[in-house]
Amino acid sequence: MDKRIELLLRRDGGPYRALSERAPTDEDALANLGEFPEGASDPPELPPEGVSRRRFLGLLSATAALAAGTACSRPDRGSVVPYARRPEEATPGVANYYASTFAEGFHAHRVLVKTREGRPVHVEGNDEDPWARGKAPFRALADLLGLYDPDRLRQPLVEGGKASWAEAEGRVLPILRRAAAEGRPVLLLCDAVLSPSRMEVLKGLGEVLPGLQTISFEAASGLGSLGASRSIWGRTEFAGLHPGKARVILSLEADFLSGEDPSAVLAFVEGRRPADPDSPMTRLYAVEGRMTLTGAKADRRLKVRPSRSAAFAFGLAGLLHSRHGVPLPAGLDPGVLARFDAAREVEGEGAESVVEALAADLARAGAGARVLAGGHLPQEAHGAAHLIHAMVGAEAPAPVIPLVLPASHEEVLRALDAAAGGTYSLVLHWRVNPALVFPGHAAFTGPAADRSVRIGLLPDETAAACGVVLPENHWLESWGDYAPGPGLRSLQQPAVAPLYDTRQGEDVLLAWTRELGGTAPSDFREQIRSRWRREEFPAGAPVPFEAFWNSVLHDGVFEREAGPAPVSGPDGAALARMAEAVPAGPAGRGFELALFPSPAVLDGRYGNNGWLQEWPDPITKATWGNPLLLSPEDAQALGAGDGDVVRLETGKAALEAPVLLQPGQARGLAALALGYGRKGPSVAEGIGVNAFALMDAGSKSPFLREGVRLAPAGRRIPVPTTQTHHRMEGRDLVRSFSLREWARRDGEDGHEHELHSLYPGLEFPDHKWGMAIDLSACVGCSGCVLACQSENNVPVVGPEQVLKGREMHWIRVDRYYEGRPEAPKVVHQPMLCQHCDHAPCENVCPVNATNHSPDGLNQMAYNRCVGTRYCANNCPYKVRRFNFLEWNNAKTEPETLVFNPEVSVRPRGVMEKCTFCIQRIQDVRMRAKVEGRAVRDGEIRPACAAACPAEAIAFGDLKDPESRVSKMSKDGRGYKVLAELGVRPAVTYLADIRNPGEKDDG
Amino acid sequence: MTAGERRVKAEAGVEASGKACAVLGLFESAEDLLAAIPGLRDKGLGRLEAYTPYPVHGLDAALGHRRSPLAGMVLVMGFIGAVSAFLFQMWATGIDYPIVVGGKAPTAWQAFIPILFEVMVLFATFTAGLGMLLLMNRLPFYGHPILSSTAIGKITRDRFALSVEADSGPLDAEAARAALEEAGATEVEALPAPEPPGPWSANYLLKGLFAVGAACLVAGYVTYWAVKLFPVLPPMAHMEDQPRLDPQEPNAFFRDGRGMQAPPRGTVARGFLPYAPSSPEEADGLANPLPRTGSVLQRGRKAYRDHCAVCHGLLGDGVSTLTAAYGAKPANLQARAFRETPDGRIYDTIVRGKNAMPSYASHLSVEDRWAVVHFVRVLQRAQSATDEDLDRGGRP
Amino acid sequence: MRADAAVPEALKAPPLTDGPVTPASLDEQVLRFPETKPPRKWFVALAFTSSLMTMGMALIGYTISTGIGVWGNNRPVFWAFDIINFVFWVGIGHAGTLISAILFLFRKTWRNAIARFAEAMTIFAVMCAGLFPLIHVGRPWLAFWLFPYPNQRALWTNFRSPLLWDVFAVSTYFSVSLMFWYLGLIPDLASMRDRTESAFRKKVYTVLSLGWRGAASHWSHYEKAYLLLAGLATGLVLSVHSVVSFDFAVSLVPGWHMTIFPPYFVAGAIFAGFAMVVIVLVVVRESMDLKNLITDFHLEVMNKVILGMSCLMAYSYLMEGFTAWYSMNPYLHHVFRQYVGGTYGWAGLLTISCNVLIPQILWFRKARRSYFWMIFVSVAVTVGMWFERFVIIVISLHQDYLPSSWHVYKPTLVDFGILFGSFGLFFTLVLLFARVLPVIATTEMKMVLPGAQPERHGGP
Repeated sequence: MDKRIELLLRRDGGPYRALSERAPTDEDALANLGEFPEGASDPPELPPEGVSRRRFLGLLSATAALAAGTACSRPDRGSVVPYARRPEEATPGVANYYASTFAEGFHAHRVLVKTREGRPVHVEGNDEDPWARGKAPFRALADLLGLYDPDRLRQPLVEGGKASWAEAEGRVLPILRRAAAEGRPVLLLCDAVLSPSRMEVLKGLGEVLPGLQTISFEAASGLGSLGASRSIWGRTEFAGLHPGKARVILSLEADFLSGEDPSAVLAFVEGRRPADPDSPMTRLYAVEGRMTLTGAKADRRLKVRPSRSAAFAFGLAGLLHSRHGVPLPAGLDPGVLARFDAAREVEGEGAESVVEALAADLARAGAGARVLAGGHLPQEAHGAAHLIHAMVGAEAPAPVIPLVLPASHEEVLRALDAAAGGTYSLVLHWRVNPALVFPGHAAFTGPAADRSVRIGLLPDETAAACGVVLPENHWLESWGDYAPGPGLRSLQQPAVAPLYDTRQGEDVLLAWTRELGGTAPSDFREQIRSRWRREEFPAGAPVPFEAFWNSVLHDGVFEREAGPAPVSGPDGAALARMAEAVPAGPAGRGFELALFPSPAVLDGRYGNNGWLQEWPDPITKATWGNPLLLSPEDAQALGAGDGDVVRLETGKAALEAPVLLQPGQARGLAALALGYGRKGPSVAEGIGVNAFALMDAGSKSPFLREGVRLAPAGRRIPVPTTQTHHRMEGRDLVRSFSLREWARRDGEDGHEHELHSLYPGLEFPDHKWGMAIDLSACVGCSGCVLACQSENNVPVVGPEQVLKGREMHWIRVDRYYEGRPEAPKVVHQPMLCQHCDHAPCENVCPVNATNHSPDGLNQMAYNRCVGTRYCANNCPYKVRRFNFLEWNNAKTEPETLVFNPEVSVRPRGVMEKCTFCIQRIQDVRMRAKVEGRAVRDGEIRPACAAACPAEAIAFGDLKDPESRVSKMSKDGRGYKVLAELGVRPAVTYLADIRNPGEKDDG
Repeated sequence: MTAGERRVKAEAGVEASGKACAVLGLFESAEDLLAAIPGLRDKGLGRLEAYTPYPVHGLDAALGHRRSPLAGMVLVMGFIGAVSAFLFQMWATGIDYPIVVGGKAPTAWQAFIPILFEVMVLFATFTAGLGMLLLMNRLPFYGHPILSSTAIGKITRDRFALSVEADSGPLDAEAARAALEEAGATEVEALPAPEPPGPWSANYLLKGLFAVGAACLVAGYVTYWAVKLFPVLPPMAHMEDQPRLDPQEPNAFFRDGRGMQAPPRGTVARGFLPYAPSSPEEADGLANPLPRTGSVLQRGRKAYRDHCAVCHGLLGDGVSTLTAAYGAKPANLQARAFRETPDGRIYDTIVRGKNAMPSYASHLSVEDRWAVVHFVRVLQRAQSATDEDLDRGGRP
Repeated sequence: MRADAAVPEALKAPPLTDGPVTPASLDEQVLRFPETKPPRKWFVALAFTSSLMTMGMALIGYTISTGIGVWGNNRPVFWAFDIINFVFWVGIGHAGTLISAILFLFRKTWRNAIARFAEAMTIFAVMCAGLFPLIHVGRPWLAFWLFPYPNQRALWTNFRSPLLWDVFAVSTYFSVSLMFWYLGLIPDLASMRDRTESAFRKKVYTVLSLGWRGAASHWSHYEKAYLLLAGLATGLVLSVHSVVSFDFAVSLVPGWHMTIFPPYFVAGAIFAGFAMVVIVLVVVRESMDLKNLITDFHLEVMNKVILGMSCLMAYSYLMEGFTAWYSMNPYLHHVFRQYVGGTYGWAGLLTISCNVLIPQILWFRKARRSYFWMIFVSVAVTVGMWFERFVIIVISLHQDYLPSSWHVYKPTLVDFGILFGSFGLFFTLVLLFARVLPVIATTEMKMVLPGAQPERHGGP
């Protein structure tokens, strides 16, 4: 019993009394209360007497801090600044997670933002999200860097000079007032609108500003899909790029496995994890000109020029009808389709049989079939896709419905011409960057530019042109709500207060609306709340709105019953018109140019993001720029090799870009990524060439141009790629079989080399961490690379260093081409430290800087490393990275704020490598210990595993036979890379299984 | 030069040094030298020593020198070197700080051989070299008279000298000179006694050599402190000053100069749903979600003692150690008013604080708070139990 | 003893010197250099080499202040010029020890004339070699961590790492060579002490010669010690380059992981070392007019050794190739194809032609005795041996197990600057040595001059 209690008891006579004596009387109870007068709280500045409790605790903590400060023998490490009044959720050293939404183009991705001490340090998927199930697209991860971009606009600019908000708005509001009064037109260019509340903001402004013309516009996304569904169904919606639960998938240039939509990858790989050679497996046909991740993963890939994919699809539909008797929708006469011959559009031999198989598969699959068409294709191709869906009776994927009808490039161009002509009294560029899309347009020079206002994040081309520049919040500093698709709503909440004197665009517009006499809530958050109270808050909910709102903020998503999918058969006549619009016959001569959004910088909006610039393109492995992709045959014909500069001429526009050979690309096709050739900000500046210059805004598909002329320019610009050799040289590195090959080698497979050791095996007392990677699921999207970079403070080294082969990524995705260069088989293999039991790197380190942990990790003590680099030489997987130069320590805020406080930043001269995210392992182990339980399987997720949209990476304890990783390691497909070396890696790879079907298989 | 002059010079040398204790005779060739030795040995005038520009074969035998013991010493020291090298590696790697490297047991010895060999050779060679100089030849020694003799210049070039040196008892210089001339010495010279060894002579160096061992220990401590202070000099900083922003660091980038920022207003972090009731009254309705189990009460007891007892007292009667130093008297939870307040209200007070009491939301998790509520009830029950409680052994 | 009457003329050991040489004349000829003022051409040479050295040092400073990134090293070629130069210089050193130790054990009296110089070159070469492991690490200011000293982290070094074996082997090698060299110098220093006129020099030489007085008892210990040192140094010199070769043989890089490496490296080292000795000797005997002591016979013998070693290298290359082929190891096969084809094929071919083909010219007596040819061959061998290390290190590394990480290596100007700087350092030291210390071991020469030893004790 506590000593003090005894004393107290003894004081009032000890326990030997009637209990009644001890019961306090009401008097003293009242007295006690009386001594507690309301409002007697003691302000810290004047304590009642002596030292106040708060002061006391304050002093206590201060002393502790001082003690901590002086205790270390090192020179002073600076002062300690605790929270004055700690928010309930913010515990120093412990991470918080905020559910939010990352909007990009016509997609709104549900994410979790990890913050430390109220500062975002990592972005993951939202595990409450019913679609993406905790997976975020890689650009959402990477755009964390955008928050801390030192180039960000920090205060308003007027005529390029720093200004206050008052001054800046003082320039804008008078014009708006006059425009409102006189009803003169005002142009507002903004990006895609998926947020209902944002929609209301625009409406509200429109009401007080009758002349407001709002143009929503995504520079790098085509509208073919929209046009198709409008003319066929009469609905304004994009057909979603989602495989659903289909058994047979036909992709027409649709790169739905790029990882930009994790839910699509998740849905696809569900059908791609065969337990045994007889288990059913989704089959993927890819029809494309450029090599994409989808084509790389496809079981059968057909090379068809993008411009011909419509003809191919219609031909396929015709085949379905003629060969398999699939009925055509009313109003579509078979004769129209008879003109097309799918097989003829395909390049290379043996097309007929594959097309036959494809048609048969589609017919057989029926409702289990799905045809996806790429966004940049003309509407005819999308029409054909709809046609096939309708014929075989498959339901189309859930559509994406833009709230503001997106404008075509042509419309934007017209508007800009008008602006240049002085039609508008004011032009607002909100987030979009038209000066990059229409380089040198008159609207960005002279008087028109002075009447232009820019609301945006970075000093980009448009900002440089505009007279007034208003700095906007980063999405991690903003509020928002989104309707990602039917039946799903998501909220966006800021994870950090604005770092600079910036405002959210919606707030600016709301303020203007009020200025112009409209009624608008105080800020956008209020706008959202009021709308949700009105529209989203379920009628007759048991809880108050406040609780509902908080719970949605907490979860980030809110599922509501989707409206019934509109059922209406396709308009056969419209389809017929489309089919007739497509010229039959084979592809014409001459080069065809395909412009595609860069997987890294999209339409250029991420151009200033070093992580994305240095992120190797999943297929070409090129970084820092957009080389011109040519098929090896064409390049040979041109006499150009990798890095040789080629001049492209299309009509009046022309530019020069270095060539990169792309095996498997259709002949006569040149592909170039959009979003490069920027004139600023600092990182993006001068990287690559601006492909928008070659775009034909007039044509119905501005991203496809025919009749392009190519000529060698006689210069060389080496392309910084992270992989310079593309064949496996017959080495057993990536195992990739068809189902029957697998069946054939089943049994003999799984046998491992007999490995002998001079030394007794290691004992691992409690855990033995290991990893398993399912190559059958891995689509090679390389999201893991960015997740790792963000989690582990991996530095960016720049193009020159990449050319030297000094990039620092801890995990890389090796990509190999097998077979003929014109029709290669593409395989991917994420390669990271294998944490070998008999690690060769450990033997050779003279100072024991790298050694083995009791739980099986190959660990690296950075500050013991002297940098002999011997370990890296001796690593057969070449996964060790050396800081050849000082990448980090020169950095200052805000750049340093992105560093993960749980991982030490490495200076130059030090070796580093994958640690299996040991900080996460330790974090989970500590939690488990505090809670007095064992670590649960799947609880520890390294950044790569957490980010993998295909759930291809499993991590866990190999000593636990029930853990997912143990089961996968014992899988029949399992093998270790370079097992014959006897280094005993802890990473098991599961062979990649393809399902090309019966004919000419293996 | 005539014999007379020779004699005079010799005497002069001796005058200079007082008494002669060695007489030196120069010979033209090794042959003559060897020829002269037997006769002189028979005379037994004193110990014989020869000085030659280079080793002359057969001289040792003639002078009757013992075989050099160096080989044995080298063998022993080489062995010691090998053994100590091996044991040191074994101890450092296997015992003092066992580190698993490349899947080998810390005591796996196979890889220690190369260093064993090198250290063995090192010990052996230094024994051979230094042993010869210091131990055997007692070099360096600058005090030997022959170094200052006129003959030495010839000796180190191409002449061969034989000297008769005082053995036991004094040297008969005259007899020695006579004997040498008789043996055919071209020049004869008397030498004084050696000077006492100077500070740089072998004897001292030998002692110094033993001091080296001690020096090594000192060096060990010096390096200990050196690396303790050395590494903090830039660029030696061992990554202590990280460019990253650690908890509780000040940071000038943020307006308030704090590295730790508060989350934006109105945001909801995962696992931290805001506290719903808008007023204490609303809170009355809240029901305690936790069961009244032993573990919950234990948890409540710990939380109460850590956070509440400091003011409210261990019994909840508002009598606590801080009371004296504290202005207003904290609430007596034993008072009926508190006994009758609903759980929700107590919970609300913990979250919101009341009057002087600040919010404890950031100190106590939701479960802890409810557990405390339970525990407060227990205290109240215990302090104001009825006699029936006693009969029922306190069980409800 | 007098049995050589039966020995045919051809087999008789030729005279060690041209013309009569007496101990006195020998001293007169050799020991006067430190006393006299060097000629102008010496100063010119010194200016050149020392400026090379200065450039190298400046570039080293640049490297240390900026980072290894200023070199061409990359992933996967983490080692390049740095380790090539290290192995190269360690190799050069071996000739000296071989001549002074191994030939001494074989009682090859002709070695006495050149031993001193060769030993000096050993020491200088090892000094150059020691430079590179130090500067090639990422954080050179922490290189002292490679020594197992007691520290507050209670951390020891990894005694299983070949790099640590290097530390021990090379430092032992350096100190042993130094002692060997110094012991040989002592009697000569004594002679200089006794012949010099200047008081200052006399003081210096007195201290350095440790009061050596040539007593018979001393000589007996001295000879014993010298013999023991020679025996130990022989074992050491073989071990050192074996250990250096372990850096590669113990790793698992295809092309490095070879059991033939230790003997192959030792042979190569002696090969390169002799070439360097020949180059320097020719210059020395010409410029210092020592033709009568360093005779054509010496040069010819050296060239014969080079020829023999070249054949040994040829054999090593063949065996290496054979084991690679016989191993049935695809990775190894690939690397060996790269040795003679691929990006760096030229380097492999250059190596073979310099180390195997060109030296064959020495089969001709004429070539063995002509300055032009012996210099030509020696320079070729030096270049060839440098490129042999280039082939082993760079080519093996640049294409190892996973094709995905293959990458081409391009050296930078800094790499070359430091390489030439190390040559500058080496020759600067050689030039200084040639003017301040006896370039020929006079005492050892006197021992073997005709009539030096009493008849019945096997004197010539």
